[in-house]
Amino acid sequence: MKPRVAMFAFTCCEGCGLAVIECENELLDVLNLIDLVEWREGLSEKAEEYDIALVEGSISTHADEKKIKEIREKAKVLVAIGACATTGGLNALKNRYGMHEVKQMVYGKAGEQFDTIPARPLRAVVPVDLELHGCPIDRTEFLRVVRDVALGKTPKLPDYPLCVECKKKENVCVFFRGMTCMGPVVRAGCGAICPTFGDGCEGCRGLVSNPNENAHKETLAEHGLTVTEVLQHFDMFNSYTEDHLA
Amino acid sequence: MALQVIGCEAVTQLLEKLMAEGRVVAPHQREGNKQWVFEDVKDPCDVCLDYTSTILPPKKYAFPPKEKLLHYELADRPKMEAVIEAEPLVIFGAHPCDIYGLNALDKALCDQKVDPNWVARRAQIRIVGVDCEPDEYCFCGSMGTASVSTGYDLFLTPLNGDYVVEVATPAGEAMMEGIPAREASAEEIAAVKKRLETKLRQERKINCDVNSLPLHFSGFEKSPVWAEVAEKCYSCGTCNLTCPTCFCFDVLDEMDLSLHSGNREREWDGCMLEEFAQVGSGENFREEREDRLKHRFFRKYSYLFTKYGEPYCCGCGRCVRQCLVHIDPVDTINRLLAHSGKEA
Repeated sequence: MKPRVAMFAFTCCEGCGLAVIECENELLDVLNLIDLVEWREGLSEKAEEYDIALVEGSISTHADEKKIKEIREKAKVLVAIGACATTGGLNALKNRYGMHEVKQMVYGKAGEQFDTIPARPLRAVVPVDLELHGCPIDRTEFLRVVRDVALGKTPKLPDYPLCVECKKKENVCVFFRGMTCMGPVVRAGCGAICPTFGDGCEGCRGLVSNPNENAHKETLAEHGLTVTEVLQHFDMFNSYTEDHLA
Repeated sequence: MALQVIGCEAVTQLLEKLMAEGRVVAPHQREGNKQWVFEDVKDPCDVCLDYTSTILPPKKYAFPPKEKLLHYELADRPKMEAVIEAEPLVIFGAHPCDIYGLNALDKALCDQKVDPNWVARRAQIRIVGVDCEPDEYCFCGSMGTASVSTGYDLFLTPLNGDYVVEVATPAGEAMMEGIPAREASAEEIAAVKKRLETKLRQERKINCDVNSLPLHFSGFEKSPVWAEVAEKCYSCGTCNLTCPTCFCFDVLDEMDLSLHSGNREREWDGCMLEEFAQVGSGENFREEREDRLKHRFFRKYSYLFTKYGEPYCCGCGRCVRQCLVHIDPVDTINRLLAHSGKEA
């Protein structure tokens, strides 16, 4: 029997779901391997039961927290997809402020009616079986994971810096073009898409397991960044820490 | 073989002739500070023979970053077919260090087990070498790789706006057919020799004889220098991936989404990457940066050197040129020597 797969979204732009919809040429093959049973962005149906939950978004309200725990109860396998779900992503930038202050900043007086708590990646709330990184996720990587799950294989995702992919493509190093990049400490897997199209990596896939952060702070400083700018580079997608919850 | 002299226009003519025969790749300049890459020649005017170093060595044509090894189809009777994608190719404008790198890999990849994909590609590659002027990162003078005596069909040495051409093989002779050339004068031949002498006078050099490196390395195992150097290493694999003599790879089975067919592929790997020495059980034999850095240096200057009788480093300087934290083999070797009191 094909595994029943449900997709859910919490605090995010649902762009990762869109990346799945954009697998246009492969969607029929995907549907041969899995049964999609619930997916707000792509289906009208809802399901009470499923085997695999693909979840995008970070947990940033009490309602999110309750719902992800329910999903965890039901799903045999929980996959976090996209930066918001894997690192807390951009959402975690708000965590440095007080929640009252955040609501005021965005909505003014009307803000008080909203329920908001510090944004967390899924693994900070429930156990997660697999994390698919990126903002948004990489389609090819998504399809590879679907295939591996169907084959009963544990997907192998890269845990080496982005520089590997830039070198294999023979991209001119972003630093040698007078710009800065997070590539040397950030997880590969996107095919170095931003450097390939002329931009520096901003770190949406999160840091590798053992990043040499000190070396990178020195490199960024050597290329003219101030301490504040260096920290901003690290914070954009990767500012979440457990201290935010205190 | 007698040396000939050709003008710049004749180089263009030579390129055009080779392009008419088939695929030609040569150095082209890229946007950015002194960056070049080997790529297909579309217009001889775009070729830049006056370059320092390309990001990747021309090794990528004989051993691509990723390639298919096997195609398989699953059925009641599964079908499998070895895949070798090779085609005739001219590498135009390879520097001596890069030619040395290809020669070194001929030994490593044909030792005991012959790598059929490498051999099939190499057999169809013709090489036109060109001499270079070392920059501040080159250390071919220390490695004995500033010039090569084999591994090319033609070799061009720039001289006063012209090129002195050495025809080294029958294939090279065929390339030169119909290209206007004159015999080199005694002065020109002397100038080529002098050029090499100048090239060997490099500021950056290792403080020992290259052939004594394996012996010195036997005493470097426990040197504190490794940890000092490794502290700033990213483990990003840039030194591996840009190295003309690195040849490690990973093999992956990539099944199509249909689950009916797929390919076995190999892809460049690098011993500086954290997962390189990790095995199925999760055990990692070189978990620390220091272990990986040390391993790479031992491969280059000790293990493979001892096995094949020459350094597995061609002194091209790509590893330090591309390294954002400036880890430099010359500096590292000199620190190791100084620390062990073996500086010559």
